Amino acid sequence: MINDFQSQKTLRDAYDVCIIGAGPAGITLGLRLAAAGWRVLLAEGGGREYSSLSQDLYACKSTGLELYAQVSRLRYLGGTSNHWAGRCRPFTASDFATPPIGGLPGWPIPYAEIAAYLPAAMEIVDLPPGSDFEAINSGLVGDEFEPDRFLLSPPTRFAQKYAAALEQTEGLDVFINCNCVDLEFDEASGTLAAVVLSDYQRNRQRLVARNFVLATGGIENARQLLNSESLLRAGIVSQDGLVGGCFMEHLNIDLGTFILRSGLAPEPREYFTTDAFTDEYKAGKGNVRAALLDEVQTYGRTAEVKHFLENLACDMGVASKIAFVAQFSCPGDGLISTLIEQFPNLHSRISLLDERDALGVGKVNVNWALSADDRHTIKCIGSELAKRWADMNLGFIKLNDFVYDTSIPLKMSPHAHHMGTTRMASSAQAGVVDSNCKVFGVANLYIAGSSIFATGGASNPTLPLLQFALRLADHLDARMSGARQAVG
Amino acid sequence: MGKLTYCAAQPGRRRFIQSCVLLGVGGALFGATAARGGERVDSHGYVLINGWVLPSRYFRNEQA
Repeated sequence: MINDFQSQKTLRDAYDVCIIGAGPAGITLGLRLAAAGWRVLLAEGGGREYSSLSQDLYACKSTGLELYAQVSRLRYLGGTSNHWAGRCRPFTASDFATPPIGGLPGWPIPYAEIAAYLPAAMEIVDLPPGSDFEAINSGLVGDEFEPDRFLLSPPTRFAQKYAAALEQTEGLDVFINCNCVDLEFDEASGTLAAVVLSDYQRNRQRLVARNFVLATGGIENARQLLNSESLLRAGIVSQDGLVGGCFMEHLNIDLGTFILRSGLAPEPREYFTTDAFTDEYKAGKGNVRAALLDEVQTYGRTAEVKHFLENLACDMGVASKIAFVAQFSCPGDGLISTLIEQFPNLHSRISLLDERDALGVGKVNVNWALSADDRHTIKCIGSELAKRWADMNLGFIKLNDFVYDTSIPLKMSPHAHHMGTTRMASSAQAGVVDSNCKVFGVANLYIAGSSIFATGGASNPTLPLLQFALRLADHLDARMSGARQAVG
Repeated sequence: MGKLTYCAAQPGRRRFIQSCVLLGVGGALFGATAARGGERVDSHGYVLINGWVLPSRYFRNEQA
């Protein structure tokens, strides 16, 4: 049943599992565990619809690359699936087998650990059962790029699709407008004893459960940990450690433009780097989409006007604010966009500020930063794709200068894929959660969502994070069942 | 990466015009005719001119 915490503070005395956050990961976990017979609380900070009251709690500062965090993620029932575009591409074995460039370890588990959950995850997002991930075009010569293979979800809006299940599943209590404002760690037992939940008038209630799962997104999961004074006191979390570090995005680089050879089909073409490419250039993965514009995307006349406005914006310090509206592209122009892997690096991080939000939770600063290795990936993908394009006589590619000259600031935009801030690792020295998504040093606190990603690859994160959520549901079910049998 | 020569990091207008002239002359002299789509062009490296990634054979005097 879905209850409104503003008016109904009818929490049970205790739950088997308390899940914070009702986006794709939280809803999937809640439904699975309740169906397995466990008492589950699913606490969503937002309401049934978008509201600025809730969304404003996402406000954060930015000292790095512009992230648009407050508008790209959604804080209400269904989470960011409410405006998800639906593109699905699973991880591959090489994502798990190859450690990232930069010194940090990669995944501590093989891909097979989550591959088994792919069919169930596909069903959740309404992909045809058993269907292959398809290419829309042929590949390029050589072994460096293959046609990208993906499927499109309708896209699934989790709050709508699972509305009846959230209302009717026995054992599942869903509370909206129910904000987690503190995590209470008990040093003596090494467990999270309770979470503190709050409505929008700051009426608070303590909630006890056997297990807790944070499923609030890549920024908020780290923020919840950093905000807990008891976790800080116990040394489980530190303000400059791995919690919040390694913030990763997927990079949408405006690689440049192209001229398509006359007579070729004008449909978009999408390519994906191969393992041979990443091995050869010691670079990350990436998707590249080359598409001809068939209509004017934004108003504008000439490149001179564009350059004038860009220079003016830079001089005024407002370049990032007009980046989305200052694209002067015309019909027939060939544009190249990307979804490129960012390697984990500790300088790209979320940190807690002294300033607090309306509910008393510490606000965060996001310092989204790329490394030289990321610039190398961008340069290799742009350069090699342009060469293969010419090899194939498909036309010619004109790269933007910041692609091949790494001394020039990048022009790019985020994909709203927030990853890595509670990364998975085999030890606390390299990560925040273990291979079962459990926080190191806390016996009953788990993390769901793309914040656990050790590497981000170049796959859209929704499908993989659902695979991990299903795997976590099985783990918690087995663990709690084992405990019950031991007691019996 | 070694095949690509970065010879114009920040070209100005004059350099761009020079590049256009060079491209035109090179194409006319050495037969920059389009091969058929889908066939690989026999290439000997690339040059970067004003951002355009172009096969260097367009600019090389094979007789020299």
